[in-house]
Amino acid sequence: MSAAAPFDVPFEQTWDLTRGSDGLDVMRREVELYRGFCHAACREATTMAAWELAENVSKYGLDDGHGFVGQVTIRLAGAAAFIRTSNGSNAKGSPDDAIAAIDRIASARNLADLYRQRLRELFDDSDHTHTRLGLLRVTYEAGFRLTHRYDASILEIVAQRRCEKSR
Amino acid sequence: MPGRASASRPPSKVIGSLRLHFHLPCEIRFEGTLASAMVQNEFKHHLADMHDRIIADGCRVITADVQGLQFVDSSAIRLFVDWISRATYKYKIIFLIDPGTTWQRLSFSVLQSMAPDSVEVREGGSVPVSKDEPTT
Repeated sequence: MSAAAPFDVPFEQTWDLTRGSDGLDVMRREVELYRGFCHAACREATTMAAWELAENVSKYGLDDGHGFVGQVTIRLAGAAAFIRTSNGSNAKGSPDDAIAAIDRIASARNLADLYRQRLRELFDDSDHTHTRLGLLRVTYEAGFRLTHRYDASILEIVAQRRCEKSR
Repeated sequence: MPGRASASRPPSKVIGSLRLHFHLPCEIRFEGTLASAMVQNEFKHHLADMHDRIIADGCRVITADVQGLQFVDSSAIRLFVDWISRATYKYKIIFLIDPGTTWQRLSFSVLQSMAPDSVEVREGGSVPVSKDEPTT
């Protein structure tokens, strides 16, 4: 296995998501069982980031009338891990919050400060029903970079990071 | 004896994929995962009982061994925030973490920075503290 390509056996899988987190455990176990991870840190990071992003889809994605709310795709190839989610989103289930959060994270000088600021808001106001920590965990804890695209009422979020042999 | 687990309290509690162990006074050991809404909802209710017991037992310091906590999501982090808020000015929580687990190392260090008088983070393998350890 070369130092620059820990994922010698590429992995790509897509899961359809429904409302609630019932299917997320299956996804998490399949990712955890993938033997191509060379380092536990990358396994842990990818598993957690996939869960957080998929959970957002299951919570906020628009139901197509048949229980389907969106998809999550995980691709592990070369020395990179990619997670892509897509879900319907319109003015009622506005994607603006997610887009604003990703933009804020992308422009932050210090992610730890942003994370701390959000935790402080939760400390100070126990009525916050939505933690809005998920995207921060994906970036700050799991080390992924986030991008977004919103087109034809479909919100797509892509998270990517390098997974070297050493981490 | 103050601080001893009561004979009527079961030493362990299972909440779905989460297991809580109360074998030692003023110490709680977490194992499993805390990610599903059902488990989190039940743990949230149990947290209130846990808090009351800690106070009733006279623990000024409680050790929360989270090394066996394999996976949590952001809603679970919120529950730890809630616990710390309850504990503030009442007792100190020492989180024993696995430094090899990134989310534990990063999340709990941020929690500590939020409430340095109420939270301490130690890497697993530290000597458990007694309830008489000074809080400062």
